[in-house]
Amino acid sequence: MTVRGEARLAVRPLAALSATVAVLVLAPVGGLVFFAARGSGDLWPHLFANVLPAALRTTLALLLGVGVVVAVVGVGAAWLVAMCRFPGRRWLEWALLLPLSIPTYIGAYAYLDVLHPVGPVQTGLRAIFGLTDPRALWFPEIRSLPGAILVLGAVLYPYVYLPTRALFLMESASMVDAARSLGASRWRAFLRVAMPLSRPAVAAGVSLALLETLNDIGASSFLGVNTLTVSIYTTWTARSSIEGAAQIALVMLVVASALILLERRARHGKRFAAGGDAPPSARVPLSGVAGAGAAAFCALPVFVGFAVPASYLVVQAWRRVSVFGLPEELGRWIANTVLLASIATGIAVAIALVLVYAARPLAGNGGGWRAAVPRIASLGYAMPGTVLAVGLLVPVAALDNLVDDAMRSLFGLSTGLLLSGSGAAVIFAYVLRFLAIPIGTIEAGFAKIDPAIELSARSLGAGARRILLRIHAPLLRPAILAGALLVFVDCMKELPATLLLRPFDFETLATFIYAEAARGTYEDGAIAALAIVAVSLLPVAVVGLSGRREQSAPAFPVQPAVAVGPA
Amino acid sequence: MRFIRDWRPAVSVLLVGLPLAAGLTPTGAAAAEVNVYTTREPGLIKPLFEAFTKQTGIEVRATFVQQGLAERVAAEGRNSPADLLTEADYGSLINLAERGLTQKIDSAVLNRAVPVALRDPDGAWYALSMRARAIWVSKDRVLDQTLTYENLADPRWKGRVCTRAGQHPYNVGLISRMIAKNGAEATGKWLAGVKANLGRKPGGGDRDVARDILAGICDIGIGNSYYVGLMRSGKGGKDQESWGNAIRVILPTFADGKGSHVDVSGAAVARFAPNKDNAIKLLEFMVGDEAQKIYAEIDYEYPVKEGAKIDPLIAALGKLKIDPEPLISVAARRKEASQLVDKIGFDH
Amino acid sequence: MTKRGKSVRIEGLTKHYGSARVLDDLSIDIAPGEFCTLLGASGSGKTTLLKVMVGFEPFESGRVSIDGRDMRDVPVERRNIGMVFQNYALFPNMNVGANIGFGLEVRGMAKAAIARRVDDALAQVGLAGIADRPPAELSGGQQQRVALARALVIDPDILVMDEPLGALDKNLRQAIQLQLKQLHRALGLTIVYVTHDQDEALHLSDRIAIMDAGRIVQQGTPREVYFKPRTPFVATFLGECNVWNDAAGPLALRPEHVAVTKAEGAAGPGVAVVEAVIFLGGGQKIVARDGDRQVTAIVPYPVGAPELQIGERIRYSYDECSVHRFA
Ligand SMILES: Nc1ncnc2c1ncn2[C@@H]1O[C@H](COP(=O)(O)OP(=O)(O)O)[C@@H](O)[C@H]1O
Ligand SMILES: [Fe+2]
Ligand SMILES: [Mg+2]
Repeated sequence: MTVRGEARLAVRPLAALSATVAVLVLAPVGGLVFFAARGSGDLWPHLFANVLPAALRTTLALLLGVGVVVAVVGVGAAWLVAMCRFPGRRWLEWALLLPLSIPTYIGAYAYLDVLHPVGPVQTGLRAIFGLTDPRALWFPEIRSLPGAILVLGAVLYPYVYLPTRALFLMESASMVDAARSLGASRWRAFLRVAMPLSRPAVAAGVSLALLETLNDIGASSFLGVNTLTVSIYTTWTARSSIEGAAQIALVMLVVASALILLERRARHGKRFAAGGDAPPSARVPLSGVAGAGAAAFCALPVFVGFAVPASYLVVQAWRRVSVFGLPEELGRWIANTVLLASIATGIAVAIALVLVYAARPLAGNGGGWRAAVPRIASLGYAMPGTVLAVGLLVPVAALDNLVDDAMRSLFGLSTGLLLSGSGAAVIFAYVLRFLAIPIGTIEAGFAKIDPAIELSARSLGAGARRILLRIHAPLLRPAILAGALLVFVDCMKELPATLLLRPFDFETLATFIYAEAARGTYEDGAIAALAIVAVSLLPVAVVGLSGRREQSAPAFPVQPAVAVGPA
Repeated sequence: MRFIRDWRPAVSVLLVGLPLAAGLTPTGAAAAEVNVYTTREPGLIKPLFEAFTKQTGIEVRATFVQQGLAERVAAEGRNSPADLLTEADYGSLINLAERGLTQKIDSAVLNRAVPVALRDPDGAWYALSMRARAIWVSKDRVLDQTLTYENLADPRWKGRVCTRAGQHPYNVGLISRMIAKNGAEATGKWLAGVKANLGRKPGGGDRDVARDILAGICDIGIGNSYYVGLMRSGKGGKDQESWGNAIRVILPTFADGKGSHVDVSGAAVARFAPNKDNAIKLLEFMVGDEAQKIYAEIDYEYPVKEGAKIDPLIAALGKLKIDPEPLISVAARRKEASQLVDKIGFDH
Repeated sequence: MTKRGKSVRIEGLTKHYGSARVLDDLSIDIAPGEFCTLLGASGSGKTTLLKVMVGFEPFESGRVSIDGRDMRDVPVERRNIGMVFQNYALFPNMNVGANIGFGLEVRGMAKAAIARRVDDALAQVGLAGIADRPPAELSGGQQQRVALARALVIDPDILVMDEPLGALDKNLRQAIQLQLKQLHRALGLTIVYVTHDQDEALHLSDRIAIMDAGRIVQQGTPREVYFKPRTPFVATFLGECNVWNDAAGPLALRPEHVAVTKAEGAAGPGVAVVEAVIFLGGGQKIVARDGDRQVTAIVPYPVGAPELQIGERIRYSYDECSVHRFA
């Protein structure tokens, strides 16, 4: 007999909500199964023999490359910014977040244009050397695996930088001091103390960046890098087999989930240590060559990941604006985009809070299936946006039609497509796709809250809801904020699900860019792209500045990290 | 249970309020409107719809759904708001019809305007415009004035050929026709030969081929006819104009010399179209003189309507001879063509 | 005050964490208004027992009753047990006043009434006037007393404290112990107090229950458990104790009951070699060895006389009536 006391009663609504969300999250997977189960006939052996091996090799190589780039850049920059003092540090600390605002497909676009033999860089170089033949200079080709690694690495490293820097600021400083007092050199202290301490944050950040890479379609296909996700897409379009596409997608989902599980297991029990009160020791001043080197190391990723694509967009947009002015509908696209992104962000954060709260390993309700719900709810992040959208199409429309049928037969009135005809389906897709992010930040935040705080509130008579609203929500504010901002920016950039699920006659910045790019009027697209970057910069700035204000306890314990995989 | 009661208002606000607040109220069938799902870029067909609205007062609401148009319409089923479905290639039109997502239209206007070969025999879909898959060569470095598609595999182009992905429907269409005409084996050899000639990885769009020719990465490539008009007209900016002017366009034939590979864009009335009459009106408008002129002038496509005027930029490419292989037999080879691309590893 | 706390009865309680048995068929009775201390080494299950009592932790078998009523279906928030945590667990997002007033707010009390009660509670623990400060600005002792005030203000039937003074310095600890004792007398509530510090247990308690490996090995008044330990474990755990074997079996002897004189001449029965002399201020502790028997004695400091040196021989003796034989 297990006597659970009535703690259970108080959390039952939470349990119900958890269960509901788990079911909803599995809806797109159900949609995929629906397609996959129809069978792809003789296509699967063909895919297996001629498509998947190469796609798998390409994918692994791309993941490996991007993984190394984001780890080196993210950890290196985080270390320098957190532990050293050098010219421009304060400015760079914030600027290193800027590439978050650049969608991968825009990065790819910009780099192809900028580095092309007839683009500004090579043209300029030829002018300097007095060359006229475009073939006179040899330049590495951006439409290649290394090119894709560069572009993706340059815009994805903040996923590593953000949590690692937070960890360095919070935890390691005093331990590094201790190591140094024991005679370790700065370098040794970094390798032997700071690195191992930061490993969970790094692993978490890298796994996020890798999931983004795995699911990327825009940059990869544009640069001719045929990953598994690109194969899913071509199987659907060129091979005309949504069944085959769904089959690949399901296999990929299994593989991605397995990897995530492995990552979780690898750092099982290695909780992000609860933040001590120890203020970080004074930063080590670097001057001369060392200082310049540090500044260059931190400035380079900002340059590559933000300055180049952003100025490319500014130039392109200006060409168009100077002739035709701003597109008259720009305001509406921005409003639509921000509206969808804000609603989805609000819902995602609220759901994440409830799920994590319901799953927290506390007396009376810890463990059990509820602990698995945040993991299930994070599945959406392991699926390409297109796949999730197609998977969602079936159940959402089925629900719509069910409701419509019911209403017709009961009241003789038609409700039409309640969800898929409104923005609800897009919002639903955003929430499912990005729920992993606030789950991760909030879980990380929870790990830092002394469980006794909740126990004492309960002993004072408070119920679950009051504790969540009065105590946890305020304490988690930085984590919630960080999660919200990241989700918001991701929603702003999201393309494939928006394209497929958005309601009739409804454009967002991303769909407009895509439509223009598909048609080749890049300059029109550049205006919308610039708007995405500009709007995304606001939250990025908020994250950056709030982190700066509270240096000893960074306002964003962003370990989106913990995001994926079982606790 | 107090807990639940307190949460309920919030939940209902989320479920009902937000979509409404978003101003995205579900669509119903109003009298004077027609809803279009399109895989064609909206910028290309918008001028057309504006002209239609001006003439008839019927509002056109278009949604660009590039991939998954068929899946979306199928999933929406009877409640789909879609009236007219437009597709950018023949294979997709057939796919729509085969999946029962369209309805048959019997319209004298349509049947008169669209040649028999360019529409479904039962009226399930109609082609609206055509494009040729052309060969583009460097103006400066290539002297040839005529070429066949088969020539692309000639060893003399080694390291000089550029194209978009082999799996792109434009290329799959071309390969399908090659299979229909020359057989799978010969086509496989040809495709391997083209691959051996590639100057860079297949990828990007057709316009990138022109840019790469300008840059000297390639000397020869494949691209659709309308892109030439788009680039050379300067509508895509000065850069694109210079790309367009770096190439000479050859309207190729197959080895038999009969004609070029031509694909179509077209439209179909959706099976559950709530505004069926308006959809037919729009479809009829699209094959009318005014619309066909817009297709030609704005999009640089070949009109389907006999005798409709071709834009001068496109007319300058030379007289288009259409390969006579029926679209239906080309379409039947699509799967084979796509698998051939995989087997040869064309895109890797 | 006339109020009387409620009784707590725990019967046959067993609880596992995974496969580890943390509470093992544990039973204890705590009388109304009693100050009962759970004393045990770290990891012996004290905190777990408190959590089960308060209702935080599920358990596999056994029964918890308060005032004779089975608590199975009574949730934490309705047990009316005040709890003070070792690290105080003050809500960092609320100031001192809000912390203390939280339990009253939960009970739907009006704002003005809450403010009054908060002020009273602060005065009661000697912290009047700090209601507006954030907890982070308080010293450890102040935080501790805020936690106490927060637990008391809801007028609990039972107050449960988990090593509440562990983090404080000795002087502060003794001062608060005194306050606690007075509060207990004044309020008359039942207090269940957890500590691993024997002195604290001896000073405060009406009754001490000694825990080891999830069981209560002995309970009784401080005097009982001190002078009549049931097992060698209890004997050594509660203060220092000589545990020897003689012909009649094992025996326990408190060091303060051992007398020591300088031994002239050679070894023999009752003679030991000094291994350490420790100055205690109020006296000195002598550790000596007689064969395999370690002898610990606490004796007055020999003012004016020469100090004992390591290696010297001593003769030790004791009164047979101060020897305790294990049952
Ligand atoms: N949440 C938990 N999960 C697993 N084991 C636990 C947990 N809490 C305590 N334990 C284990 O139970 C035993 C008793 O712990 P506890 O009651 O905290 O002891 P005490 O308070 O006496 O130091 C210890 O061995 C401890 O490691
Ligand atoms: Fe095109
Ligand atoms: Mg304890």
